Amino acid sequence: MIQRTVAELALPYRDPFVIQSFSFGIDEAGKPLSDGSDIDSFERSACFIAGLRGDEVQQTFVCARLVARLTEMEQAGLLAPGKLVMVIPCANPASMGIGWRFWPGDKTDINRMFPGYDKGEATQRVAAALFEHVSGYRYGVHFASFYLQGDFLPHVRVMHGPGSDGNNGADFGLPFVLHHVPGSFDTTTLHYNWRLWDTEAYSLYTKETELVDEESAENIVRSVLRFLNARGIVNWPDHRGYRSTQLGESVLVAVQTSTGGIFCPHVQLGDVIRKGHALASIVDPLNGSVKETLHAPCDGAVFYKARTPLVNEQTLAFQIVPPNVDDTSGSGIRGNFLDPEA
Amino acid sequence: MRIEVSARELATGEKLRIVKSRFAPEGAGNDQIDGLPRACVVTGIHGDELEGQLAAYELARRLRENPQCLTGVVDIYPAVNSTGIGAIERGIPQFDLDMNRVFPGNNSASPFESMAAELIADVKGAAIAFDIHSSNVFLRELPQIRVNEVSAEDLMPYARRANADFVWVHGNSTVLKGTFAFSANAMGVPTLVVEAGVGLRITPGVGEQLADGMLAVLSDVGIWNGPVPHVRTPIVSSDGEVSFVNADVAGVFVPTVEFCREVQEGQLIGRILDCGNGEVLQELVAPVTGLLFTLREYPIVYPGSLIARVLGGLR
Repeated sequence: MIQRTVAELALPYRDPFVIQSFSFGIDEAGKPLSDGSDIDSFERSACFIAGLRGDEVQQTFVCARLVARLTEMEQAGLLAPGKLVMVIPCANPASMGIGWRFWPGDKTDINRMFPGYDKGEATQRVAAALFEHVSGYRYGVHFASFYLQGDFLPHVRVMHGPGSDGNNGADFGLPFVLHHVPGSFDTTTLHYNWRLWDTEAYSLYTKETELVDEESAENIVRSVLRFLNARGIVNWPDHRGYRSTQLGESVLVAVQTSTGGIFCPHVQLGDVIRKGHALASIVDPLNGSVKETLHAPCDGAVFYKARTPLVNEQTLAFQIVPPNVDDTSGSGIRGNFLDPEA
Repeated sequence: MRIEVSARELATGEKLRIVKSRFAPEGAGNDQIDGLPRACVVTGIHGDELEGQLAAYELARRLRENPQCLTGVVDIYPAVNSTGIGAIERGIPQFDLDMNRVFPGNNSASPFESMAAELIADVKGAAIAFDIHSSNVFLRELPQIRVNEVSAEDLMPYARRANADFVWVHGNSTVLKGTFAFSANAMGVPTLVVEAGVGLRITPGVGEQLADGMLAVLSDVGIWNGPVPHVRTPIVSSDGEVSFVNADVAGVFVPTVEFCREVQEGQLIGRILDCGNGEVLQELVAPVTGLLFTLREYPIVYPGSLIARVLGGLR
């Protein structure tokens, strides 16, 4: 294993901002990667990155466990010779260290700065340095979080674009592969730019963000190893996991509030529900009366659930994935990758 | 007349609202108003940008005092991100979401995205729109109009009349598609983006200057037949004539020049200091001779922080 600094930036009145990477591989002679190895002779096979936002603690935890597991596997000779795997567990330690989601100086989002600009503002420079190191890999996986405050069932998200394929995400063996049509706000994300520059990119969503869930983290690590095994990068036979349900984003049925109040959910992520099932109550914060009961508009399973105690009118409270939606075409939705506004 | 454009109930029963003030010719009924040319003045999309407040006040005051001069409709939206203004937040509180990245919005999405869609729907059909921003809290800007090169042909006649000191024609690749102005221009409403002053402050004179310019444009599009203030002729420039000065180190920036002055190539603009050690970490100089139209206002800098912009190529 080689540990490297991939980006460094001075911070005012703080220790420098340093992003560390961990690279794993075994050469043709069976020797694990070390500081003297010719890393450029390895094929850039898979890259994993987490913690672009400072509150993505679960994602960083997943990557940290992946580093620990790959360290053991490299020593045990379980990596395919000549294949390089790089992990960046925490791409934004400056924000994570102070409990902020975005950049401490100007609240900008590194994941809205790709491919970066090395002469620009701080987060543009960080994105540029990161992108230089994470590009050129065959596969790229970003452990991501959603901008709305809620939890998903663990799933793989694939952006429609060059090289995307309905079955791309199935090798992770997670229950769902969600096909996302990029919008204008996606064009500066790592996922979009990876795909634009020929890396087969995936975003993995785990159950938590700010909190650590060990069981969910372990399941995600296993799914990553399952993927690497399927692609011939590690020798780590495991059962195949789930036969993933493929769905386009538009298939998900949104349940939104029509009033504001205290959000009291009656169901959990993954619960199978029938049409009409009471999903949550919206309670008046002053007199305790139920202002609204949210009902399931269809049969299905709870795919997304808001986690805020307070909700506004029109808050996305749940997303339901209906049964029998397996659709490898992404429900027929095809956006224009190079010009999402077209 | 105050009109509610969009509203959503917050958790505690309060309504989050986008409200506009409408100024129309005296005695005009709704049927007549629908056939009149309309201008929209939008400000406060970023909650930390307040220069538009005084510009809105000055325009509203003049319209209120001279209703007989109105030949069309003026809608003023003074505080699009109202909770952000109240909370001293650039984005939308609760979500850290930049409202100027969610346009044209989506009616079925989150409250804020659907409110953005309702704002866009309300502006649709206007003859002209002004999207007034301050700079952010980090930079002070000369009053300027920013125009996407794609829309330049349509917008320049208005931009030249808007009483800005400077019109910056941007390359299309640098224009963000999630902005209000991009969406409004895309649906055929000529929309000028105004940048002026600094975040969280109101700069004396800027509001009056912008109100003068808006009245001149309103006159041009047939909405105002009263006296038109004298407006200045702006400098017009493209990206190629603008040079940037960025910090290379972290520290405390102190300028050595006054804002909005001509600087000579190589002239010292400011220093980045290590205050505890009494040490100068970096001296920043003008890359070209020209007008210093942007200058760092907030002293703490990171490597990459924008310090200044200089407009070169001036005679």
